[in-house]
Amino acid sequence: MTLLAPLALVGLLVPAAIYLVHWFFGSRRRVRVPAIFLWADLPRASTGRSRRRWPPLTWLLLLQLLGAILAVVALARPATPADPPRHLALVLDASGSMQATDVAPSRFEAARARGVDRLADLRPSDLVTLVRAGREATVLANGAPDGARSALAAAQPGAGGAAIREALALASSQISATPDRTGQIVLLTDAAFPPPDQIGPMAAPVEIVAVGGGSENQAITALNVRIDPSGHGQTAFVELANQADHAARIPMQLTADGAPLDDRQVDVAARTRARLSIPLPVDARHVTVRLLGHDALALDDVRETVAPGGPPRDVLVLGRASDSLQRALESIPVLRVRPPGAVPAQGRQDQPDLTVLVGVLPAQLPPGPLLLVDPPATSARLLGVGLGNGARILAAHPLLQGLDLGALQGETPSVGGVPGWAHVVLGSLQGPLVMEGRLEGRPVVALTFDPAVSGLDKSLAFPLLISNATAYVLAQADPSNAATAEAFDPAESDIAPRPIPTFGLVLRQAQDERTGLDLGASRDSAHPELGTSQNSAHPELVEGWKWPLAAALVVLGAEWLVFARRG
Amino acid sequence: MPAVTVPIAIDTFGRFDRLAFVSRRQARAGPGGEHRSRRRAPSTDFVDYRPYQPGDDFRRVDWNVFGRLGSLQVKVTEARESLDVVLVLDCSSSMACGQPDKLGFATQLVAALGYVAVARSDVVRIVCLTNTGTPPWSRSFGRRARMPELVRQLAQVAPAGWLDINAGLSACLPDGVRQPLVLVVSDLLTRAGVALGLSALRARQTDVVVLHVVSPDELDPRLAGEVELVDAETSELLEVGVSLGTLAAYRARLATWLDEREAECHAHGVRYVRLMTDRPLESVMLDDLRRSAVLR
Repeated sequence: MTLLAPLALVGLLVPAAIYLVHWFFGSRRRVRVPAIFLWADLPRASTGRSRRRWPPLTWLLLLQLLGAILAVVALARPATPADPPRHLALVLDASGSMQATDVAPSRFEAARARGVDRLADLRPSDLVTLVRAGREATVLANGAPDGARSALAAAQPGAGGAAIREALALASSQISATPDRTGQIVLLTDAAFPPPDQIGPMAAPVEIVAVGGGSENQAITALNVRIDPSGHGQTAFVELANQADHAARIPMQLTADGAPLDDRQVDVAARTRARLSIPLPVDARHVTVRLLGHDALALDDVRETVAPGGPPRDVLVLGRASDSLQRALESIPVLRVRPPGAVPAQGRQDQPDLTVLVGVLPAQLPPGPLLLVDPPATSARLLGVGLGNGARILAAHPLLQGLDLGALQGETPSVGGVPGWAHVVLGSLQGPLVMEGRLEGRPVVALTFDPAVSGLDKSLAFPLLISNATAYVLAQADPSNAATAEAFDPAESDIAPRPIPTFGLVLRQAQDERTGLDLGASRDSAHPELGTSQNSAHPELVEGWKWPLAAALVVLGAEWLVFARRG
Repeated sequence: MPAVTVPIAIDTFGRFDRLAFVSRRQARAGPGGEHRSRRRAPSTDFVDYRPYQPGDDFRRVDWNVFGRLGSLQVKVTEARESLDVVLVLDCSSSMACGQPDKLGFATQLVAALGYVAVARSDVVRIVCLTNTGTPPWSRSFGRRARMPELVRQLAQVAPAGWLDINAGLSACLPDGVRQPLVLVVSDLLTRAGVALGLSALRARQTDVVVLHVVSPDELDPRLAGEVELVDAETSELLEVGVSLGTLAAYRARLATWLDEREAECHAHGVRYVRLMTDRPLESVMLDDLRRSAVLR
């Protein structure tokens, strides 16, 4: 409590004056009583006529003193700091690693429970923003705690990575939109993600609540099927990762079109990977690899892919295709490149299985999967709407399998931002280089650079990149693959927590009670000047002078009644 | 001290017609009353038979019994006597205190009690205890026709300053009264208590009832601050600063003192009834005194 007008406390001299008046000028009434012996020698009943005797404690004196004190308190304008409305932003890590079951029932459920606990502390007038940090950052709810509670209950984990940086930026922007509220960002995560880029000042302090913490996981991090150069068979390339801190013998089974083809035990050292080549028949189509052991994350124990084998696919090339691109396409055994000029009419049955657009992006896109090579930067479909420039490398992505990434990173991107429909697989500070996604319902792989500028089309990496791109986009067009809601990101198989970055602000970290996970308390002191919330304005004060004033009036009324009754 | 003019509404006393005093002693004030007596005398109240003896009135021989048994039996009847009722009124100045004042209340009470006695053909005497030494007892009132005179005398009662109530009680009984019912209406305010006075009364073969008159102001005095207390009887002064603690101590002391007076009465075989002056006279007569078996 504070006093807005402390000088009014000088008025406390008034009660003192009242006491002095009673002391010096208190009248002594003569009262006739039936018998005086009943009054003799009573306690506190002093005798004598000394003026220095303290005035006796009477109702009249008490009420006058109390009324005066209350009035002085009211004049001093007491005020209490009001509890301002809050704006809580819950960032829920929905990455694939959150499905790990090292904490029961799963990391995601544990994070959800922590979030529910946080919501229980809020009042109905508070505001809650619930951000799901999946492969993309999305706002699930923004409003009253009740709505956020139901949205939190309905949230589901994903299979890809967590766009933590984008989610925090989104939460910060939501909080900055309500400057009249005390903001706070709570990140519910298992910290199993690589350090994101610096995000700069935030609109509110960030508290990280960690769940989970184990690393007991074995995973299938890669599965690719290639047609042998002879064209008479296929080979499955399988990569297994042991993320645990000890060596593991991993039971693995490979099936093709439901028939088991290979069953073996693979010994993998701690924190290492093992790569296998398994021959497949040329007609094998759907290839599935399973790990039969039990670990913390079941999501990465099964991997399926569509083999390039089977009937040849039609490829239509539109635009100014270079010879090297033409040769690269024609060198892929399962592809049959249509001759130039054989453009099918709309609605005809002989639509190509894949359309390669080189340097063009028509207003009306052709049906089926698309491979964009050096698309025009002026196209509205390629305008960047996401956060940042897409500088990232997903080395484990099928599009980059077997490629020398150093050669690719030297390319100059033709677009500067990340379109809303695309996920960046490889990007530099200038912009994305390799993207994939679904554009107007079609699976699309975009190579946003001109390979002829740097001479990439002359290198061995180029036909391999084209092979990866065509295989990937055709696999995405396969109905069996399209049914998969979200492809598992192999990077998520590493479920061990990493040190928490500071995000350019002070972090308040919660230590997990069950796992004892310490996320690096030393980072708490980083950038203290940035830790101040922009919303932490001076707290409002609620004046409370009305209550003491009302009490003073009541007391004075009671004093008048006493005076009127007793004279 | 000026006389206290007490409004006594005698015309409202009619509702007390059916009341009568309850005495623990036999009425001995002579025939004509309504109280039972040990004496046998011609009356209509049959008690027993006894054999005829020479000298008996032939009119009291039960001839039906003689015809049935062949022996002369005389009907014995019980006499009815009137009761000597002495109403002792404390007229000390302390009785003039309180709101309503105790003396006014006591005067009305004495008038009503006198009316009850007169209505039952009892012999009533009113004694006002004053500081004049010999208490001024009135003539006996034995007829209802003398009620106005009784009221007139009571209306002139005035507080009489300090009073030695023990001495007054010891000398309050006039000569000639026999086994009277003595009702003492007083506030009993004396340092030494009233044990001596009650003992003296009991020694005179009396049935004593103490009607202790208490004012609400005495129980809960409205005093605060610096006051100068004046004793109503002795005019003694006491300067006190009355605080909440003082009032609490006074109430505790008064409660103890009241309990002591009640115990004192009971110890002397005296009936004790405490009456609050803010009670209506009708309630006192019809409820309080009947509940405590002073009236029936």
